[in-house]
Amino acid sequence: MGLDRRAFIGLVAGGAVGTLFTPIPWKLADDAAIWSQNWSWIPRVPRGEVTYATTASKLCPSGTGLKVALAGGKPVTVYGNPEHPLSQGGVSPIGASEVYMLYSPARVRTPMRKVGGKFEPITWEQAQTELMAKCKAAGNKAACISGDVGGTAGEVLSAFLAKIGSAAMYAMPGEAGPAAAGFKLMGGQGRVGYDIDNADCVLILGSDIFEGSGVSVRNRKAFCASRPLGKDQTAKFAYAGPVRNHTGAVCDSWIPVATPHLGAFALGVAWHLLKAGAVADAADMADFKKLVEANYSPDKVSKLTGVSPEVLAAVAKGLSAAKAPLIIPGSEMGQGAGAGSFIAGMSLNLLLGRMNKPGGVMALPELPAVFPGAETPSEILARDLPGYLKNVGDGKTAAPEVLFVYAANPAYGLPESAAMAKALEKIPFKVSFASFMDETAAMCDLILPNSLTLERYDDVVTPYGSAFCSLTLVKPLVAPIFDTKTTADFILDTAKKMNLALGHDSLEKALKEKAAVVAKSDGFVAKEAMPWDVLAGKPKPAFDAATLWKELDAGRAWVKVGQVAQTGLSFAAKILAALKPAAAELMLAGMSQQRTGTAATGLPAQCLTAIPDTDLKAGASIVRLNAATAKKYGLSQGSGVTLSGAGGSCPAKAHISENVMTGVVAVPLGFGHTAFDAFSKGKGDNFLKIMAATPEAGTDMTVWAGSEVKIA
Amino acid sequence: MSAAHQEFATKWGLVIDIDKCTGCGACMVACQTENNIAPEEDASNKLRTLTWMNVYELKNGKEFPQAEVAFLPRACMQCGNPSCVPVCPVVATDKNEDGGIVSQIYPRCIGCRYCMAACPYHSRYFGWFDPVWPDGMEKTITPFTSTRPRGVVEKCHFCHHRWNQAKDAARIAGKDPSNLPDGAYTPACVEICPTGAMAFGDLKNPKHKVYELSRSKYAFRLLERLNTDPQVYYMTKRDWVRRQGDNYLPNEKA
Amino acid sequence: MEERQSNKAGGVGGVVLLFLVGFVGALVVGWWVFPQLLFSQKTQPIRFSHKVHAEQGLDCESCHTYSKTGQFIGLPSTASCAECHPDETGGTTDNDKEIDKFVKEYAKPGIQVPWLVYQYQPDNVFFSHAAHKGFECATCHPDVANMDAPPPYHENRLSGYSKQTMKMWECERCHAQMGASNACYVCHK
Repeated sequence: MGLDRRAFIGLVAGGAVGTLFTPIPWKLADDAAIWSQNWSWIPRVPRGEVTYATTASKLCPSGTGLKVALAGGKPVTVYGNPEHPLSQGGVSPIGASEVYMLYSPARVRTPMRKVGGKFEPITWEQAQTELMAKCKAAGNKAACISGDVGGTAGEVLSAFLAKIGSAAMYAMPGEAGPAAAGFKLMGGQGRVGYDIDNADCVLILGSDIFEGSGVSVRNRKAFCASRPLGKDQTAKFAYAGPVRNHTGAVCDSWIPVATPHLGAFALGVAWHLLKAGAVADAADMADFKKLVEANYSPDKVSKLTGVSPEVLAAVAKGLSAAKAPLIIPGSEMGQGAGAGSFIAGMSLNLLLGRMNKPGGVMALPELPAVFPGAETPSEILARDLPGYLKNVGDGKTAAPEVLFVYAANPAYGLPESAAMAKALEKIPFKVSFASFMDETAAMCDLILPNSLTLERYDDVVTPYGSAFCSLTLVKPLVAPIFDTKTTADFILDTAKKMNLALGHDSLEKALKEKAAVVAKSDGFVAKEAMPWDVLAGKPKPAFDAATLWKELDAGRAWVKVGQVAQTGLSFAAKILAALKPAAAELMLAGMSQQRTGTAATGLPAQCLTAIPDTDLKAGASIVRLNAATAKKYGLSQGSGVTLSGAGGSCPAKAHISENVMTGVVAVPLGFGHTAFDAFSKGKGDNFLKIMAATPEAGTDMTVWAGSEVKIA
Repeated sequence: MSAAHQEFATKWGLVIDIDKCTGCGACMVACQTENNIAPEEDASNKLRTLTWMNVYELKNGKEFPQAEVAFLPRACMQCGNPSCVPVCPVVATDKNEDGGIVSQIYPRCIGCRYCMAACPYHSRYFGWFDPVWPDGMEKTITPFTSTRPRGVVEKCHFCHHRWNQAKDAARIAGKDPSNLPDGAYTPACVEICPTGAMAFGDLKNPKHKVYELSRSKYAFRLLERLNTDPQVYYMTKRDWVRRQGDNYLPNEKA
Repeated sequence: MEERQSNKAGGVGGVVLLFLVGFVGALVVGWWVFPQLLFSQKTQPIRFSHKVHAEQGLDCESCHTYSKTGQFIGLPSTASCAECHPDETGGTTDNDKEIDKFVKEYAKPGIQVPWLVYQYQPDNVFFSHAAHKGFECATCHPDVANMDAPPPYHENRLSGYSKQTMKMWECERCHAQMGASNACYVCHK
């Protein structure tokens, strides 16, 4: 019997009606909706227990302690460690990048060797063999450029270099270099730090202390404490510099001064202080007074800097009237200012009697080294890296045979990049320990990738600008994700194999020794009492040396409040006398922002959204100048402009901003990468390449802050 | 769908001191990593980026050297009288929970963006793209906020998951989860701010510091005259900053 | 045309009969065949016997604990199981063989067991065990305490979720009955 049409329709109709009485349509609709929400290419969230662990940031110069959140044992995000004195819960955008940068596409995943212009992966054993052979052949003709000289890992490199007979250990430029060099020239002993917490009148000369300079998170917390929400403020802050930048934005006043003139400005203020009778116990007090009275009178300073005599007088008056004034010298872009400029700024602290006083400048002792033969950070920092490389490039200094590059990116992060690249190219064998494929690593013959912060042992020792000594432990929270090694451990092993044993088998053991040594030197663990309270007079808390490693492991910092007594501090009047601040028609002011990372990190992926479209738009850099400057050069909002200097040029677009002083072009730094990954490449230009590196009159230290620029 | 003004026993609020914000952007980065917002290679097109927390640069409009600059971090105002809630055709967003956080439920959102048109603060963002993490970086996704496919609207939720965590911690410790002490629940942005420019807490609880701060004479809210009743307060001692909080006529007092 | 006429008469009855056949057939397919097709049956990677462990004197809280932050750790980690089962037994019983399988494949290499979670909730759901402490586990979970083997896991082939995954209406109903809030963000993230 066949199914006729009506029967068939009946069957189908029955089926349809029956289906309505089953779960099929409703379940299918519901499940289809769920299926459409769960595309396989959208990642799922992790399951598992959420725990927290502590370490400290090595990518961010502010040395903050970190609290890392882990899900199922894997790090997922990071916060500041509220118990850590340099953090108090706060973290910069760079520190906040520590977790996800573990998976940056720019990471070097295995040792690499350059063969025929391309990189090929090799094993650590092969790499070590090749490195030892090259070191043996080079003898003492080796050099090292390091971005991290303060900690114990830095000691390893310094000790290694010393063992192979070389003194060519250099640090990447920053604020600490001119400070170390300048303080030494003044006859100062120890490392300078600034006690902002206990100051009541702070004059900032250029230094971007609330953004990228020094212990910027700590500085900001101190600033915050000085103005409790809704109450009266307890300290005044004035910012002198070419741009009203992130630091200038929150200060009570902005004194527009071009960076090369900050020294003259400081001495102009000194003129008033001297007139009011300020005197310091320095051998060259009389010379200093003569020099300032002769050359830095209000009219002369006003003519050079553009600061009105009234403002100069007011600044001096404010400092004199304050109970605890503090002057912080530096550069608006965190590098490129000279030792002379530092000395001039420091002379104000000296005149006001602020050395080693609460709320003043603290001269801190170096922590004892655990690797014999290592130089102190101050010795290394005082050396002039751009000057050295320039001489190598020009043939005035012999190029080393082997160059080690650690936590640094000199092919990008130095001024006059063309000259620096020329110098680097002269070095026949270059080894980079970079974690990321940066511009320098791309030039090297061997890349031996260092494990990142969360993958290794390390420490953070007294970052520049801190008013107290500190030691914080960095400990691994994950096993290395890729085939990387802790550079310090690799060097220790290599040195041993070369019969140049440096003293410890591993960095972890050296750190334990460091803790044991440091525990004997009259400090305490920052827990119930914070070092700035002790600086203010609160009694130093009890300290049980036996518990130090445990406390460090728990993320707390060992701190020491104590200064190095100054026996021969002077004004370095002879050097000040030789200072000749340049006057250019148009000067560059670098804007160094944490959201663009550092030269060694590139642009961290999650920081890109924090970069406003007034700094970078569709791959083009945007520079800032005020309406008066723009008018002079025939520019308006959005005009294309080509800036040239130091034999190079950078195209950009103009943005009119009245927070830039006339005669200055403010340029955002951290862009123009040609290496790393898609997050860094093809975005703007590297303005460091048009900054001319010239010797500072009086100190011969290379300076480039506020260098001359031309608009093509 | 809730009608006009909603009042709850608890009212979570933010107080941001503009005079302290240095504009570093750490709050933006913290929000992104906490809430699983994928990184974008070209983030300069601000019409396409997802910035639940966004920092704006304010100028006083004067010429050099009288020029001043300030930075204003803007999250979601969690309005007491939200403009976005009544316009949602599918009730993907609602203000129905004690605490006053305006919820945004991603699977329910159809992506019509009517709420974005309604919000006067530009707090809401549309996911134009499927989130893509670089290979391996998806391991840093937190369990706190679900990942969103493209086509839905998202916004700041005052790190609501941290409130849940604080309540659970209170329950385990035998304490009252509805009476949390000041600081037990803090969003990621407030916690990470290097300057400490932000404070967070229950605006109705006198024991929380935001209670006093929001009543300070220096406190103001954005676009107050729209009657949105925002739960985010800003503080400044500078009149020119305060004036940018609303569309004031030149002769009107802020 | 007589044939057609007779067909017409039988046809109407035939239509009704076939309608009923279709109707019942659809019901059978919908209520019996469809679930069989929609759900696949899976077994847990390790045949964990709650009964054996309960007999050892372990209560629920020994392995299903709260962390000090209040988070409920429903699935014990391999490390916690390995506290009692660090080594292979070398025995021949089914239970011994299962222990050995666990030790070899998970405890020694330190890998987490990919347990199939009966109450697997989507990423956008937040459930607080701490808030529901007053309830018996079996109110929402299958009562495995007396089972020697974990019950089969039925996975929905289309949505990927478990058959036992509680849907929103169940949570909402109990919340409404208990007077707890049904605001969106109470349960969603």
